[in-house]
Amino acid sequence: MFAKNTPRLLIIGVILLWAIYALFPTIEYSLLSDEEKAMMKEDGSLADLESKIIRQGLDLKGGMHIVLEVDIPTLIENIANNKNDLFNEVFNSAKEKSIEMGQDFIPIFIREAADRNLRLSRHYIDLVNDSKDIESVLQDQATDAIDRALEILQNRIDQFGVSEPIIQKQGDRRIIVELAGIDDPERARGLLQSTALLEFVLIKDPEITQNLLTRIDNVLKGSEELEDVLGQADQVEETEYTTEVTESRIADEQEISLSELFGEVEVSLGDESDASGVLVDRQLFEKRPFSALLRNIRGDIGVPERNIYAVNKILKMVKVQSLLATGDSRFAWGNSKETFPTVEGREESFYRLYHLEAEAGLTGGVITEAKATIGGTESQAAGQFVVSLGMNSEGAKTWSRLTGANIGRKVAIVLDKKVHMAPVIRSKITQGQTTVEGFANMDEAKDIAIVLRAGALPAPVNIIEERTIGPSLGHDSIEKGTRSILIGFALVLIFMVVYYRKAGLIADFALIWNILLVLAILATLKATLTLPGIAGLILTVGMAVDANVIIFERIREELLKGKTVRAAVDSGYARALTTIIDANVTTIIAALVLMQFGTGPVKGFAIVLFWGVTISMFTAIFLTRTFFNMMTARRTLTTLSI
Amino acid sequence: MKFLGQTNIDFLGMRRYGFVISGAIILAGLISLLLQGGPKLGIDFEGGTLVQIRFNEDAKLPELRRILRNMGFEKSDVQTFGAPNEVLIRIKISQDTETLVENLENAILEELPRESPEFRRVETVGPKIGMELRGKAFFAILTAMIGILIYISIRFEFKFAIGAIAALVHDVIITLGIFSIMDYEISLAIVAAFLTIVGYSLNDTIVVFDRIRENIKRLKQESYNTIINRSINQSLSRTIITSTTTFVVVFTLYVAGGEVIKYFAFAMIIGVIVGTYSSIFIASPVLVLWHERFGEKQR
Repeated sequence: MFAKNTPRLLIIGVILLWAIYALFPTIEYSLLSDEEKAMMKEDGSLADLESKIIRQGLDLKGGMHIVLEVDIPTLIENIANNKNDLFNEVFNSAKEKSIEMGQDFIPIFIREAADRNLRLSRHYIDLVNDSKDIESVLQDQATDAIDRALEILQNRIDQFGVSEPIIQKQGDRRIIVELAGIDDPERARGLLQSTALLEFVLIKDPEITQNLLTRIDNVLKGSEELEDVLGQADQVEETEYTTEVTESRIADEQEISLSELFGEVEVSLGDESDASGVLVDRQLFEKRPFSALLRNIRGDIGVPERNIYAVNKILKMVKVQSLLATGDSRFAWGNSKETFPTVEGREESFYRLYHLEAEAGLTGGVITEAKATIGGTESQAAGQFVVSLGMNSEGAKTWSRLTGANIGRKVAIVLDKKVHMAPVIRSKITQGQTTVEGFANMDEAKDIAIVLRAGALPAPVNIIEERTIGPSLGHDSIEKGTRSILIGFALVLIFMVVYYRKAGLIADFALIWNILLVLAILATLKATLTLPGIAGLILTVGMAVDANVIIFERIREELLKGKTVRAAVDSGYARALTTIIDANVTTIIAALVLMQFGTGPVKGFAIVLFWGVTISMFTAIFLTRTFFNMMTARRTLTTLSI
Repeated sequence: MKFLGQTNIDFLGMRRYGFVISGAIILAGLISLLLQGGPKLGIDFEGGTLVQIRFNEDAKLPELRRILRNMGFEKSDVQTFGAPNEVLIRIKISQDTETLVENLENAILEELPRESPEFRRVETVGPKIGMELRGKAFFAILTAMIGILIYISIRFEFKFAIGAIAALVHDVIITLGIFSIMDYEISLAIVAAFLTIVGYSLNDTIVVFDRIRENIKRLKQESYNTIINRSINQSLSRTIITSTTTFVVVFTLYVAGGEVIKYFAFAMIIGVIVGTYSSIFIASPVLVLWHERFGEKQR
C-alpha cells in the first residue's frame, strides 16, 4: 500500500526541493547585511544574486515610475517648412482640439488643414511627393521620433547609472521608465525631459533690441489685449504697479544700473523724491507698457520674477510675434534665477531675457564630446562647474567662422531654449573647443554632459504620469506586509489544526507547500512582487484553505452517513473535485482579466492571485490526497482524525 | 471540533427579509452616490497629484492648507494619514503639472523647514491617463463578468449564471455604496479589490450551486425549494469556515498591513461578508425566482 504512494511522494518531494532551491537566493539575499552587500557589489556577485531573487516592485523598494509622451504637435511643427500665418492658425486650432477631445493630433491637424484649404504638402515638401500620403508620412515621422526618443533615453539612463532601469514603449506614443532607488526625483525628471537641444546663437545688438522694445511698446499702447494681460497679472500679484516701484529703485552701487537702454525710464524712476511713485509708474505703464516691466542688469534685460507671467503673455501676442518675425529674432530666458538686493534692502529675484537671432549659428548636432569639469584657474570660469565640449571638424569650422566674424558681439549658448551663458566673443575659436557655464552644481553639469553626449530628443517629451515612492515608505510596506502575512498565516494554521486535528495538520502542510511554491514561481518567472501582490498572497492563504475545507466537510458528511473511512475519503474527494474546479476557475478568470488590463501594482496582484489559486487547486487535490491515502492505508483504521 | 451539526434552516423562506435588507443597504449606498454625484474617484481616474509627507512632529494641517491656498490650489484636500505626523495631500488639477510637484515641494520645504518634511510618496496622473484608466477599469470588470457568465452557463444552466451574476452585481454595488458612505476613494487598487470580490463571491456561490446541481440529480421527487434549502444547509458549514479564514486574513491585513493597503483590505472585508451573505440570500433565491417564472418552460 505504501509503495502505491511512493511516486506521488516523490513528485511532492521533488517540487518542494525545487521550490526551496528557487527561493534560496532570496533567502540568502535577505540575510545579507549592508556591508556584505557593498562588498559583493564590488566583486560583481551582487548583480548575479539580485537577478535570482524575487523582484520587488517600486512600491516596495522605492523609486520612480514615469510615463512619458512624445510631444507630437511640437514635432510636427518643428519639421514644417515655410510656416506662415495660415499654417500657424491651423496648427494652433488643431492642437487645441486635440487636447480638448483627447485624440491624436495628426488626423485632426490634417482634417483642419483640409477645412481651411491649407496645402500641407507645401510645408513638408522635403518629405512628401503626393499630398495623399501626408498623413502616413507624418505618422511615420511620429513613430520614428518615439523610437529615437526611446533609444536616446535608454542611452541617457545607462550613463546616469541606475541599477536595473526599465525603459519600455507603451502603445505607440508612450514610453515607460522605471528607476529604482532614486533619491532625487527632480534630477531624474530633468534628465529625462531635457530635449538637449543645444544652440549657439548670436545676440542682437543693443540698439536693435532697444528699437524692438520701443516698437513693442508702441504696438501695445492702448491695446485691449494689454488690459487683459495686466488684469490677469493683477489677480495673480495684487497690483503690478506698487511692486514696480520698489523694484525700480535699485541703487547703482549695488551693481545694477539703469542704463541707456531704458533712458526715459531711468529719468522718471531715478527721481526718488517723487512721493507718488505709483502714479509715475502708472504713467510709465501707459507710455511704455512693455519696457516698464523690464529692468536692466549689467546691460542685459532683467525681468523681476513677478513680471514673468505678464512678459510671457505679451511675448506670445500675435502682434509681438509678427514684430519678432520681421526682425528675424526671438526672445529666450536665462536658465537661472538671480537675486539682487533693492534699495529697501529686500532681495528681489530676476530672470534675464535675451534677444537673439532667429537662426542658430551652430547646433548641438556637431558635439562629439561633453564632459563635466570645474573651470581651470586661468579661465574666466575658474572654480565654476562647467561642461567642456568637443566638436567635429565641420562644427569646428562653422564655430571658427562664426566667432571670427563677430568678435566683440555676444553669443548665447542656449540649451533647451534657455540661455546658459552669453559671453562676449573675444577671439576666433578655431579648435571647436568650448565650455558651457552656468550650472548650479556638479550634478547638474554632469547630467547636461550626459544628455549632450546621448544626443538631442527629436521632440520634447511630457511626463503624463509619475509615481514616486520614497525608500522609507517602501520599507514600511514590506515590513507591515510581511508581518500581516505571518500573523494571518499563523492564525489560519492554528485554526485548521484545532478544527480538523490530524487532517488539519495535512492541510497546514499543504498550505506551507503552497505558499513556498507560489514564491518560487514568482522568483523563477522574474515576476515583480508589489504591495497589492502581498495582499494577493494573503488572500491566497485565505482561499487556499477553501479547497481543503470543501473536501474535509464532504468527508465528514460521508462518515456521518456511516461509510467506512476509506470509502468516505474516496467519495469525499470524488464529490469535492468538481466543486473545487468550478469555484476556482471563476477566480482564475478574474485574475486573468486583471493581468490583461492591469498596470504595475495591480498586475502584480493578479499574477500572485492566479498562481496562488492554481497551485492551491493542485495541492488540495493531489498533495493532501496522498497523505490521506497513507493515513487510511492501514486496513484496521476505523476512525479518522478529521 | 465542529461549529455546526446538521442544520435545517429555511433560508428560502427568509428570502423576503434578505431582499429587504439588501435593498435597504443598496438604497442607502445609491442615495449617497447620488448626493455625491457618483463614486469618489481617486487621482488614478480623475487625474491629479497625491503627495504623502512625513514630518518629525504632528503635522500642522492649517499651515499646509494655507500654503496650498497661496499656491492657488483651492481644490486640494489635506488629511492626516495613519499617524498624526503624516499627511496626504490630494490636488485635483487638470492643467499643466510639469512644475507643480517641484513648486509644492519647494514651498513646503521653505515654509516648514523645522518640521523636516520627508516626501514619501508623490503620484501625479495626467487627466488623459486618468480617463484611459477609467475606461480600462470599467472594461476589465465588464470582461470578467462576461467571462464568468459564459463559464457558468457552460458548466451549469443559464439560470444559475443569472443567480450568480445577480449576487455579484449586488456585492459590487453594496461595496461601492459603502465606499461612498465612508467617503473613501476609488483607486486602481480598489478596482483590483472589486474584481477579487467578484471572484470570491462567485467562488462561494458556485459551491452552493454545485450542491444544488448534485441534489437535483439525486432527489428528483423533491420540490425545487426543498432541494435548494437542503443544499444551502449542507454546504453551510463549509461556507462559514472558509469565510472565517478568509475574513481573518483580510482583517489582519486591514489592521496590520499599513495605511496604503488599508482601503484595499477594507474593500475585501466588505466583499467577504457580503459575498458570503449573497451566495445564500441572493444567488439561490434569484435562481428559484427565475426557475418559478421561466423554469418549467425550459424543462
